[in-house]
Amino acid sequence: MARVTLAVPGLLRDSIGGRASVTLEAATVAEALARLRSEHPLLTVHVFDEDGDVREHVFLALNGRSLGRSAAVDAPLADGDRLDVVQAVSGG
Amino acid sequence: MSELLLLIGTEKGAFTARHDGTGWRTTGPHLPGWEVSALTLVGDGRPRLLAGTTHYVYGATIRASEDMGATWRELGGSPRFADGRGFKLKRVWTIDEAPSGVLYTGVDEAALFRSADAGETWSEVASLSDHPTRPHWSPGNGGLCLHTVVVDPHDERRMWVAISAVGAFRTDDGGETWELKTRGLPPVPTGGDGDGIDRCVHRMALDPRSRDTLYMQCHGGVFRSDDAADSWYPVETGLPSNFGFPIVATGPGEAFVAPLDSDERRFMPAGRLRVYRTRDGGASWQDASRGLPEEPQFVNVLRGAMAKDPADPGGVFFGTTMGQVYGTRDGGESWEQLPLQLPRVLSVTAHRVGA
Repeated sequence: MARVTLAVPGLLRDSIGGRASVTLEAATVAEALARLRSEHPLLTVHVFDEDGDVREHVFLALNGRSLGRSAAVDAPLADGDRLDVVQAVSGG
Repeated sequence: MSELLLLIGTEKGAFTARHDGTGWRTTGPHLPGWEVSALTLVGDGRPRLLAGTTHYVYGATIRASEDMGATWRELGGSPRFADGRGFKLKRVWTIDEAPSGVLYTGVDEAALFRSADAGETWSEVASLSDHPTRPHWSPGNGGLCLHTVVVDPHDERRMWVAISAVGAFRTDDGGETWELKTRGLPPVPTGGDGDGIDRCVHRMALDPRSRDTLYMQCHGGVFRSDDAADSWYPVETGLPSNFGFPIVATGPGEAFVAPLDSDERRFMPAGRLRVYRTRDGGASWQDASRGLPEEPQFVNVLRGAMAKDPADPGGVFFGTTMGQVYGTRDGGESWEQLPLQLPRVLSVTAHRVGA
């Protein structure tokens, strides 16, 4: 089980008690997202839509690299890894 | 002695403007970066600000402040469709408090939510969402939105709601059943085929002295009902255009609208910022714009961006899509511009608070 950091944009900080990030314990990205759902319900609403999919204009990055929009990735996590909730930018 | 408090929701945050009898004091932005599509003050004993916060990326929830905006808390029990409902919550359009303190919020996708605990938790009024006409509902330009909630102050079991581009509905039993109330309203071409559906209501208001008289700014005209919305008839004499968004009923037979050039050209006719007032229940409308700018103002006033002072029938306030806010405290005889230049104004509500 790895201890990883999940960081959020400024707009979503009040969804995790005013912090810029939270620590999650998980072995894979999918497990980290499951932890996010169970431990941070306010943030969950902003990351996932009603179908349980990552919102259309949100993506997740692992150590700075996009994971695409899939919420069920099996990428393994190591201590110190960083996940970011990122707003997908399109257009000017 | 109470003071006037305006709550202004904009595309990029919330602002307040408070008048102590001598001048305006403003605060904000609160919740900067969020689209504050609804903003109101609820509760008598423990006043609480409630903000409908929407973002095109992160969705919509409700946030609350118990200290007049100094700090905010996102509400974990914000409106949310239950798993399997098949609807998505895209925007909070309006938050309204009934005299009993029960709260209602109208959202996109079109639904009504109810809260009996000052907004902490909300439950969907599924009887409306599941109305038999639902398969025929079509969205307007602003989405499939339930944007107007009117509660009969004399009997809270009776309520009206308006949905674009669908129509108006009334309940007489506290929301257990709803009847479509569009007789007399013109359809808009949504491509739908529903009988009595496809009426694009923009805003609706109850006459303060009559529980059967309502006024409506519709996509296709300005209307009045004398039978609690069972039927509607046009009341447009004197208006430069029958197209617009807000309508506010301020006193017996008195109401204000802000006409636009047309559906295709959604700005003030000839770029002249003008509001119109009726004092005979809509039989005639007069320009009531003294004090508004003379220079061109190619702006719009959105449906939620005009409000009345709850304690003074002469008080009316509105914000524009270019971020100016104007107010009158003499029933439209003269207007002043508030000392604010804001993002696009989505919502204006007026309240009285202790000095």
